[in-house]
This record gives sequence, structure tokens and C-alpha cells, in this order.
Amino acid sequence: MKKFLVRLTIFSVCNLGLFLVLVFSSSWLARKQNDFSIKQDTKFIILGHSHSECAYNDALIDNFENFSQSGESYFYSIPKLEQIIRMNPQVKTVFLECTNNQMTENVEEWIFGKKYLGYYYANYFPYIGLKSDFFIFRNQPTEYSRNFSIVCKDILKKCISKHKIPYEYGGFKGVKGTLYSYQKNSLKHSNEDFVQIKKGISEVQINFLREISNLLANKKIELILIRTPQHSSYQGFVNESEYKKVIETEFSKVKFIDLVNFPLSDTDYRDPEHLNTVGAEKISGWMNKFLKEDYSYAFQKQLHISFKDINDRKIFKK
Amino acid sequence: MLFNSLHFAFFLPLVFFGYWFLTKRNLKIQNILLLLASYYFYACWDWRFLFLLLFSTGLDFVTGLKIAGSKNKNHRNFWFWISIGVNLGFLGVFKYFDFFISSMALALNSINIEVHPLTLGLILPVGISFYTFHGLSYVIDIYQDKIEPEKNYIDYSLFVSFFPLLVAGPIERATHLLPQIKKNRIFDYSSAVDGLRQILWGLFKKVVIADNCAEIANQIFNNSTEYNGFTLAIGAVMFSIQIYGDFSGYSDIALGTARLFGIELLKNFSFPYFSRDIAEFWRRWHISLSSWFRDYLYIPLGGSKVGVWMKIRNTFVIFVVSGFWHGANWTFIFWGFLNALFILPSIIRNTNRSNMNIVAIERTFPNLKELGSMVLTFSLATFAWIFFRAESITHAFQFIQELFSPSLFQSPEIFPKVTLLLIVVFFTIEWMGRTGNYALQTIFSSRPFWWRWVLYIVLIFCVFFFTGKEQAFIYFQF
Repeated sequence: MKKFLVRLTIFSVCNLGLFLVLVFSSSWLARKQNDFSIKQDTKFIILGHSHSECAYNDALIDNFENFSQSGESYFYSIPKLEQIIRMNPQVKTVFLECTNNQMTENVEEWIFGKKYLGYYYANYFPYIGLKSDFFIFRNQPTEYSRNFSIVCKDILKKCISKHKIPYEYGGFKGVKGTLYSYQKNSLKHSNEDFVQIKKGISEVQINFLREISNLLANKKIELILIRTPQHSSYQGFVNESEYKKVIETEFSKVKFIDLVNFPLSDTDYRDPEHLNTVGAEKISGWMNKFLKEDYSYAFQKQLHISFKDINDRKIFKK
Repeated sequence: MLFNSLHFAFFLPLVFFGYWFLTKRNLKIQNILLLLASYYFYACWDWRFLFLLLFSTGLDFVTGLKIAGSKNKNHRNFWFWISIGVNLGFLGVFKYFDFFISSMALALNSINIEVHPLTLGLILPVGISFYTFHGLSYVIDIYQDKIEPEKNYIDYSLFVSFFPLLVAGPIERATHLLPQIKKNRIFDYSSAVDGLRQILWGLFKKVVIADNCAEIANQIFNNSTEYNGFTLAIGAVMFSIQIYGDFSGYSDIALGTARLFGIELLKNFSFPYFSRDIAEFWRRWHISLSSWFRDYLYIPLGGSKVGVWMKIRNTFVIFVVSGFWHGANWTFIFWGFLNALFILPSIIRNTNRSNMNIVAIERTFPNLKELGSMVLTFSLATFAWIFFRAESITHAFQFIQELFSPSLFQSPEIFPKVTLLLIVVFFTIEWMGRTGNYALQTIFSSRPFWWRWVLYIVLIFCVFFFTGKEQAFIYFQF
């Protein structure tokens, strides 16, 4: 029995050692292979989830790159942001989508959920630090362990082939369709994984948002939170009071643009949460003009501004 | 609790350490520990069905004692038929009731007698087909005076519920397993190492081969109308390999696990896809079930010691019943019928025992005749598996119609290169190790230990890196 246990222990330790060497060396190689460099004249980037992914067409906005990705929580925005700002010192301003559904508790499913772990964790593993690995493991040990093989496969693929950025790490995705057709075919869309908003706030997400704020402040990069337009029928407004409270108290010193009342018609929306290509063209056109102006004036009197404030030009009056 | 789950990865070492260290090698305590572990293992599936398992165990224990304790033939028959009736009754209700009612309704509706059947919609208790057959074989052996009844309830319960074989076999015999349960177990280093090696091979077969083949097979079978004949052929082959990897992988894990506790279970697979004819295939596939049907159904019906027509009848009976055992669907019954048809020529010509040895023994490669026979046997088995996998008879025939259409000569729409490479590696190892109880047992056995360690590490890495999308073990649904 002693011989069995000793040999089994030695074998297990050898295995574990080889495994860790393989995983971490592949991670290092993957980091080397994946280049987050963007065009030298890009000064503005936006990160967020599907709302900003569908809304801001970087082909229509000068010096702007969209790194948003559907289903992305702030937990994964952080390693991506770290890579982008490390490789691209020319980036001076980061827009970060900050909408009602990113505050609700349910959104933590995007961090710990089985489906998201299998994709996002695998995708971001080479860039996530040990502290973040442990954070996931502590919260979801079973799913973490179960998905680790997917992580390993993904790292191997990444370390042997070069991936264009943003590619798997986000980018503008124009969507077709209108609100009318969406509501008409509601059964067809019933399996779409939109976050069900409940009252209540996710402290986890807010902590990560704070982390992003501190990260950018340390690098002296401007952070502007932005709420992309949503249709008035959007169910997500159910936590509007809590959402506003968080923005006004926790992030009172961070710039915030609320575009929720941006003038769009029903035909500009693909569904209550997402703009279609027509809506994206309108908001992208506006964003292009906004960034071309010396928009810093917009924040001179107050850091939290709405579309109405900008449109009325009240805030531009010196 | 799946064998390839994290839960089991913690469960097994705990039970192992408790068994060899905490029980102080006391046989009684070891058996109690294994029994409690087995009930916990089963309860993890669905604790509600634990009561059914306990009831079935108690029933067979009592009826066994009653049968053996009585000299009166009527008395013995009474208790015998109580056991058979109740055991098969539970199986019938949980597994076949809805099927019978729906089939009857369909038949009546087809002759314009409208009926609206009331189905029970019961969940099938995991492993019911397996532990029911354990109990039945015990009672039948007592009735036939082949064994004495077990008087120790713990020992008998462990025979029925031993966790490695509880949910998907092998279907053990009292004559084989009970004596091991009653005997003091001594830790044997080679046996334990062999057990671990078999578990590793089983995991490789299930997680790397079966699960990866399953993804492709499911895609093709679930959308069979969208693919050409060649792609459907690939789908059929993938399913053949999936079911082999899945079931034999599970059996390997079960046998290897049992060996860690000093218990040898019955071998369940013996490289069936290297068979040279269908009769040999059925001697090598799900051996514990085939031998159960042979001993408790085929032989009592007269077996081979009857005229040709009775032999044919007996052959069809056991294959159709075997198909029916697998599930409540006409596809399984047709699958059994098809296999009976394939084996019939050899039964009639008395050539069903012509390939009893290992193919190409002491040779590296098979000759052309052997290779041709193996390919033909594999093709016949794969053809039958189409019915096993299809949703319905109609689906199976549609699949076959498209498979054997001119589109069979078109380029495949799905060509899984990595999976095919894994399959080639897998069958190479199986071929090299075909003289052992399982493939990995004899490979590198004459080389220094580090050769084997390198191979084990490569297999473990393959399990990790090539893990397919998690699929349930196929035979759990039976």
C-alpha cells in the first residue's frame, strides 16, 4: 500500500507540474501571439456589452475603435482594457457602457455562469491574473474545474495561431431588423439570453467598475461612462432609481453621458435594448460630431450630462 | 454522479481511504462502508428511487431465503414467481407502460377506433434494468439449486448495489461476486495499479473518443435530411464508435474502480469491433447481458440442443428481448431483430463458433481475409446501430434511404479531421492491446516503467485537452 501511495503521489505531482508548465507557457505564448495594437490615430475606444456593440460603428467615427462584446461583464473588460492601453499609449479616452442591466444582480451570471465561463474565461485566461482566477474558483469551484479543459484547449489554439484584434475580443456588430418585427416574432426570439432585470444591485459588478475607474485614473486616461439609447418599452428601467443612485453616489467624480433619451424612432431599434444598423448610423454620426468638438466643455459645469443637456447646449455656455 | 465528474473524483479517493485505512481491514465494516457509499452514489442520481432499490433488494433477499427454505414445490414456485413478477412488474411499469399504451392506441387509431390513452409519464429510475437483472439472476440460481441463499443482508445488498456496477453494469452473477464480498480482501499493488490504468483507459474512451464522436453523430442524426449519403455514413460510423467508447469506457472505469477495492467484476467487452463475424461480435459485446440472456432465456428455451426451427425461434427471441431490454421503442426491437437476422446464417450452418480465438494472434497485422471479415462485421453492426440511434423506425429508414442513394459518392459535408485522427490512434492502441483484458493492460508491459508513465501522462493530457462537450453515458437511459 505504501509503495502504491508513494508512486501515485509522485506520478500525480509530475503530472500536475507538467500540466502547469504547459498551461502557463501556452498562456505566455498566446499573449505574445495576440496583438492588441490598433491604429496609431485611435484616441477613443469603447468597451461594453451588446448595447454598445450594436450602436457605435467605428467605421463612421473618426479615431475611434469599438471593443464591445455581447455578454461581456466588467470582470472581462478589465484584462482587455489592460492589454489595449498597454499596447496603445495613444488612447486618451475610454468610453464604457454603463446601463441598467449591468447593475442588476442577475448579470453576475455573465461572470460565473456555465455558458459564460466556457467562452469568456477560456478566451481571457491568458490575460487574467491569478487573483481573478482565484476569484472565479472561489465562487464557482465546480464550474471552474469543469471548464478548465476548455480553457486549456483554447489557450493551445491561441498560442499556435495569431488572432486579429478585436476579432474574438469585440467589435461593432450591426444588426438588422426592427422593433415591430421583433415584437411580431417574439416566440422566435424567446431563447435570446437577455438579462432579466430585477431590483437590486450587483456589488460585484460595481466593484469591477470601480477597478476600471481606478485603473484609468492611475494611467491618466479619461473614463466616460455612457448609457446607449434604449427604447421606452425596455423592461430594464425597473431598477432605474437604484441605477441612478449608484451613478450619482459611487461615480459622482466620473464623467457620464446619458443618451437614453437620444431622439430615435421605433424603426431605429432591433429590439427594446439594441439599435439596428439604421439607429447605429444615427448615433455613430452624432458621436463623430461630438468627439470632433472640444467636448471637454460639455463637462465643465457638471460631470453627469444627458443628451438633452448637450443638445440644448446649456452646458456649453461659459 | 458521473464517473467523469469532479464529484466522483473526490468521492472515490474518500471511499478508498476509508475502506483500506479506517475500517482496519475488518471485512464487515468494509462491506458496510461500501454499501453506504453505494447508496450515496445512487442517491446522487435521484434519492427518491433509492427506496425502489431498497425494496427490490429486500424482496429478492427474502424470496431467496423462502425458496431455499422450502421443500414444497408449490411454495417454492410461489415465492419464485412473486420475485419475478414484482421485479419485472416494476421494470414494466417504469420502462414499458407508456410504450405499450401508446403503441396500443396507435394500433387502435389506425383501424379508426379512437382512444386517448392515459400515460404515466414516469421518470425511469437509473440502473433499474441492471439491478433488476442482478436480483433476478440470484433468485433464479437459488430456484435452480445452483447456489445457497445469502443469509447476510449487508452482503446481499452490496452484491446488488455495489456502486461501480450499479447504474450501468456489468450485470454480475451471485456465483461470481458474492464469494468475493464474503472473502477478506488484501490490498494488491499490481491489481490496484491495473485498476487505475483501466480507469484511465475508460476515461479516455468515454471523454475523448465517445463524447467527441457524439457531437458529430448527434449533429448528423438530428439533421439527417440535410446531409448527403457519405456524411450520413460518417454519422453512422461515429455513432458506432461513440456507443463502444461510451459503454466499454464506462465498463472499464467500473472494473478498474472495483479492482481498487480488491474486487474483480465480470469482463463486459472484448474488442468487439475486431470480430470476424456477427456471432463473435455478440460474444465480445456487452458480454454480461448476452450471457445473462443465454443462461436464463436461451438455454431454458432449449438453446442449440433443439431442431433448426426451434434454434431460429430461440435466436430471434433472445435478440428481440435484448433489443426490448434496451428501451421502450420499436427501434430497439427492430435493432434486435436485425441482429438476429445477421446471426441466423451462422446459427443454421453451425459456424457461429468458428472464430473463438483472438484475431491475428501473434501477428502484427491481420491478413486480407481477416481484415475483410472485420470490416464486414463492423459494417453490419453499424447498419444495425442506425436503428438503435434513430428517433423512430421512419427516421431510420429515411436515414438508410439517403445513405444508400447516389449521394453516398459525393464529398462529405462534415469531415472531422481531429476526431478521425483520435479514432485512428484509439483503434491502433486497441489493436496493439487486444490480447489483454483491456487495451492498455499489455502495452509497454515489457518496457521500463517510465515508458508507461509517459503514455499515461499523454492519455491524461488527451483527456484534458480533447474533452468533448459533456454527454451522458448512453446506457444510463436503460
